[in-house]
Amino acid sequence: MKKENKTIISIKGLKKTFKTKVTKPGMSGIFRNIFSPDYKYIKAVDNISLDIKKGELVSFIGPNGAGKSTTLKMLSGILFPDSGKIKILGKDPSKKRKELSYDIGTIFGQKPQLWFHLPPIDSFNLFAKIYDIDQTIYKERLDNLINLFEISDIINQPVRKLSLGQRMRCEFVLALLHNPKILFLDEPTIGMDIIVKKTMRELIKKINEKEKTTIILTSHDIGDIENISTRLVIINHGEIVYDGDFKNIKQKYLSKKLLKITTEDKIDEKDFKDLTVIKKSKYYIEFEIETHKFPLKKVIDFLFTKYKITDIGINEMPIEDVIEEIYRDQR
Amino acid sequence: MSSQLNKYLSISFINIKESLTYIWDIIFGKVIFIALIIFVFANLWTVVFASKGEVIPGFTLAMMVWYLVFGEAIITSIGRFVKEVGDDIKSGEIANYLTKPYNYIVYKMFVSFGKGLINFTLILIFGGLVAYLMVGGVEISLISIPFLLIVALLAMLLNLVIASVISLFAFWIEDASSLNYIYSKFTFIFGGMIVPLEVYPPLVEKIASFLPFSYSAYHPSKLALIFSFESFFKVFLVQIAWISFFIIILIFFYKYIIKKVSVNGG
Repeated sequence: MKKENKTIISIKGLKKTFKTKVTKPGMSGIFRNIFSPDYKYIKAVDNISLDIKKGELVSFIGPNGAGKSTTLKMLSGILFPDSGKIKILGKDPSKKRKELSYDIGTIFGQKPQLWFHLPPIDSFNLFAKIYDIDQTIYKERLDNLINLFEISDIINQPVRKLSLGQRMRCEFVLALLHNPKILFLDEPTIGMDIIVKKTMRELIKKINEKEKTTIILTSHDIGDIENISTRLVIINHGEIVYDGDFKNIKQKYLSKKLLKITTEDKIDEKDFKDLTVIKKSKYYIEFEIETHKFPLKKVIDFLFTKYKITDIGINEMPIEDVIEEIYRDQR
Repeated sequence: MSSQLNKYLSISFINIKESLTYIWDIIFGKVIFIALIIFVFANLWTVVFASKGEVIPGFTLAMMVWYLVFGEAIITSIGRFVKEVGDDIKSGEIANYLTKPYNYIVYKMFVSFGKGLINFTLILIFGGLVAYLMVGGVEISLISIPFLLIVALLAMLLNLVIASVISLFAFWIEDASSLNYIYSKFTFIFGGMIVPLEVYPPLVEKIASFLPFSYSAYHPSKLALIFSFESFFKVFLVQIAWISFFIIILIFFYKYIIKKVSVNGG
């Protein structure tokens, strides 16, 4: 995809510290807490700088509490940075939040915006008024989005009767009605099963490609951005650990998979001698494979021909381990 | 300005529409309970009037009960406004609202106003039915009805504006429900939601009838029972004055407090 070379989001030296009360131990601690509370300062975002160009799809990935959502909330103007500068379309979100809201669409995971008891079309109509969209433009835009997201047969059914996947499509339409230049997706896949996650990925790709919307999404699961070609920003302890192409990270760190297998027959140790075995019993084995050395398909085909498998689990390397390896390589 | 108002009225409208989809839930969960309170008070007043005769000069038994119907309809219709704001802050839901081109608190007020109109109508119908069956009707002149509606709407608005100011404390202390508890008891007692202020000692009555709380319960309810254009204009003007006063406080307080937001859940 051809991207225009214009920076539309620029972040420089962004910092945010949260102050939280520390609970002192014991009964006396409870009383001391009331009169002289101790505070702990947590650096949520520590000196983050980055530029995002028009039409880019950027994923902020990091463990829980890494500072991704805090960064996103500062970008949308609902949290105020302690220091540093943010410019979105040349404007400071903490000062021009309302103005920028016309250019930004947001989806916060598990915080739906559709009216639960009413059909989606009612929410769409209301948002058209909220964003002061001209009626003719709105009708055209809505028609386009209805076709793009294939929701024409569900817009008149109450939201509570829709499936999670259908609801999500409607949530996307709602967030895109005002034709935002930028879309923020904060943990959009949280609480979703694999199938809905897949739909979500397809939707994100579609919006980025067809609508040319600049997208920033956050997730604690690196697997979420599989198959979306994206710029990856890994954040840990409020700092950027990695900023670059997802492909590089994938080849370097995500080729490892963790397999867990339960069988009906006895497991033969010889079959696994070239692999890193983590746990083994008579009918159960847990081992790591590097997919560039041993392609996953081959391994699984072999296992299924040799053993009667009753259960199989294939897991990605957790983001914490990826980060640890990146740190190790940087040293 | 008119497009802004149109925007906020659409918010009220969608909430009216949503309320109507679970109207039986509102009737069973809220309205029946209030009708029950009216039933209890109707019995109580019947006993009091039988033993003592008149409690307040000019107030008959029926007027006493209908006074409560009006007070309940206006005050309880706005629902748990302060709690809802607190919940938005606690759950982080507020992030959805703060990223929209409207003012969060005004948005919430129009949400409550929409739902409130449904509650108000239902309480008036069901509470009024209980009152009518127990003590009979009261005389209300047809001409006064549009004026009474204006005063009732302003009373709801005043109640909402004060609740909004209180709800902003939730940005500070996470939960403003204790403050709201105090406020709602003030409205019950000094606002004269349950009984007219005349039952109190003259000094308390005087102070209470001056305070803003009485302009969302006592004055509108009494006006419905004893209507005159002179008292209408007086109540109307003072309501406007109090609403303006609290809106000014709200604006300044909101501007200050919104910088303190720390959105939960991230």
